[in-house]
Amino acid sequence: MNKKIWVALLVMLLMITGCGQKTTDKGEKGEKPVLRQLGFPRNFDPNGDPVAKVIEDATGYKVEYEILPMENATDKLNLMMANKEKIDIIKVRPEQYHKLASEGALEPLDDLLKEYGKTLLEVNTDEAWKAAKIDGVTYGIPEQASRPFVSSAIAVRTGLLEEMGIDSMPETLEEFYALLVRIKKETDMIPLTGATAIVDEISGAFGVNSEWTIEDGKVKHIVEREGLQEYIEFMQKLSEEGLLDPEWPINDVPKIQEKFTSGKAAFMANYNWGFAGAMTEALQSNFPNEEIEMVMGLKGPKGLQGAFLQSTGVNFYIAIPKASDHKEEAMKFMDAKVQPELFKNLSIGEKGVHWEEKDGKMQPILPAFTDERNNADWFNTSTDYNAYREYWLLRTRKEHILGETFDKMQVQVDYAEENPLAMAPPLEVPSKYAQKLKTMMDDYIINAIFDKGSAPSYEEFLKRFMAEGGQESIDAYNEWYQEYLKQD
Amino acid sequence: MGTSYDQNTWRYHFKKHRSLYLMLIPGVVLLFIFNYLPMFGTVIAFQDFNIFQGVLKSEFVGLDNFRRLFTSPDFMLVFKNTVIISFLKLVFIFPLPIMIAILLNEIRLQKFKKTVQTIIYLPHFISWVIVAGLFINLLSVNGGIINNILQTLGHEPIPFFLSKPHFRSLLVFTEGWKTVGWGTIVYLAAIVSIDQEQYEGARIDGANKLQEIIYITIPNIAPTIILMFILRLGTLLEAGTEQILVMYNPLVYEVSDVIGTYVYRIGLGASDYSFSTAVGLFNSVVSFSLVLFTNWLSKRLFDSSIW
Repeated sequence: MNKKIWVALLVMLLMITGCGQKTTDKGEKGEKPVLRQLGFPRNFDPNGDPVAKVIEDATGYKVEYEILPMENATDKLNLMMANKEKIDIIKVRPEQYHKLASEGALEPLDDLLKEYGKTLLEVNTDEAWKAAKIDGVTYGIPEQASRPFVSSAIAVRTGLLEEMGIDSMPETLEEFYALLVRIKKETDMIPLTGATAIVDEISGAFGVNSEWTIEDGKVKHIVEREGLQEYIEFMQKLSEEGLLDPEWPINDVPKIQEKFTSGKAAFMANYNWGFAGAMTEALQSNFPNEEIEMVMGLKGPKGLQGAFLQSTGVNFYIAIPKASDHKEEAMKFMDAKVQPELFKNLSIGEKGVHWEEKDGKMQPILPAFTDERNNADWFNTSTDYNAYREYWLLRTRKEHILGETFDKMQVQVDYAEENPLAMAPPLEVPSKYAQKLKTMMDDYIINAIFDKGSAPSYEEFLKRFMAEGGQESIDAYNEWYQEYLKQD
Repeated sequence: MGTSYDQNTWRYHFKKHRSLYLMLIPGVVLLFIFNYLPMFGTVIAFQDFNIFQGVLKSEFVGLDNFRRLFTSPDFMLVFKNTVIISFLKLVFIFPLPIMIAILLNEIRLQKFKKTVQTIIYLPHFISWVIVAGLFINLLSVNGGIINNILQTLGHEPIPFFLSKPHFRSLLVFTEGWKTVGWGTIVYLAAIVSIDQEQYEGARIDGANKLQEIIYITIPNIAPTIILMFILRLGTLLEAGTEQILVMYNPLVYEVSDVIGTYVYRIGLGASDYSFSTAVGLFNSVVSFSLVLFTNWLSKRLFDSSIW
């Protein structure tokens, strides 16, 4: 009897200690090792995804995928890297990349790329490779944003326009303002609702959209530009005249969607093409046969007009941690994935199965496309930049209304402002303050617009902003920019 | 075993209760591993902690992190808010569960009592995010019930969530709504354990209900009240971070930003472990002192304390 217990205990002990020494698949010569890839947070099961299967079949590498948690992703990542977890490939955000590289957690890739990553070197732009360098060394493969686009507009429903007898959308700030005043007078709706501090279609009228710009050879933050103050003053006027949703400061996206689709609010700022499907459906359940129309970037008193051009620069870096046992294999694997045929298959699938050509455009075949390629972008360990610009568009066409809204919004691209620092390497000082400064600025703008009386003056805000990391960040970027100019 | 032990030595006690001591070991070990060992981690409050260098190799910076906390421009405001909000909650919310417990105890109809209990326990199980959502809708200026009522009474609608004069009351009220019912459990338990003979005796002596409450119920649950009060004071610097985080907005930062929310906003995305630990340590020191102080005070005044 006693003996049995002892044996059971011993077995348990062995099992516990056994867990500590994970058997690492070294693999025999010629046999491909099992790789471990860690990716950014997303709610899905990568190991069961059809794309994983395609990758394994085509490259011959079995890969175990892991996802960072939605919350505290950076903490988890740092912890894993500090513990020297044997991960072979990580796909991380630029600021995380910079931090890990400067802590010495990442393998320098220059030699590996020359030897095993020839295609990788070709399919990414020189500009992107330049951005990936830290003190002259490449620690990661840059994954450029697919294609620059504008993703916001101010929404209004067609029925309201008809009721008010409006046949053309407002194009100038003045026209828009007059319309808001009319709505306030003639209906009991909230004229304009929204959730963010900056409404790009309006701030563009004062020439400010991007958080960073380069003016006269100098990097400037949006708070240093006059346009932001003019924007705040204009919004204060709207707020005082009761043209803005008084609950703006506590609104969030679902809230404003609800107000808009239920007919409580006439105009809704922060309308994104991604909302088109669900919002049109919700709207039509209250107002049958109505559609969502859009007010694009408005022209200001000085003739300025703007929007924010997003998705420029590098979105992700793919790196090999120093702790990896399969560095060469990992590089070979990633190079294999960007061979043109396979890359196309991984991104959009097979012709006739996942996509087809219609009216000269590639169109996704549903539901095969969404079922089997919905998370394809998560698996990318580098894109073929030029090809992917086209492939990516299929993702906007998954729903008819989505694609249509996206296409319409792109009229703003011509005058949209982009962030010139998107290609800059993530610098240590600005990365440290970025989040805090953004919150500080947004909070101030909201406070100033909706409670003018209690908000500190703009000068006071600016002084604090500069003192708490703003000036340091601006200086750091300018220093980098001067260096950058010298390089060319 | 011919040797006899002096009955007062620890060896005698140990031998006598050997099996009990043996059973104590796992508990003590767990307590040590999970509660005492991690305390060494507080050294990172005095370091410029870097996760890649670890606790042993990170650079020591002395009191820099504390200096940063105390000299930051918002600290006085944040500290003031924390104390005010916590104090308001203590004054208005702490007595409520006691009163409700006493009232509940006097209800004769068991069915009614049980129903009331169940209903007032419910809010405890709703998370703050939901509670905030509920109240945002109830108190909305466009179409919220409360403001509709105010308007029909001829009052201007009040944007409760956006108004500095109302926001703290709102915090206290919602906290009360959520926690008061649950808080009655402890007191109800204390009341149930009161010896019924005391009441019988009182009734024979001609005491009425109110006198029973004042002279029997309250004195009997006084130790529990004091215990709860001391424990509550220990969390004085925790003015309800989770609650405020989901309810506040830039318009009311001035009256609602507390230590917890401030640290959350400033440390956001920065993974500043050292600073957060320094703040945590500061909180603990203040809380611990408060507990010691009230414990001492209650010992002197009421001759009742938790140790």
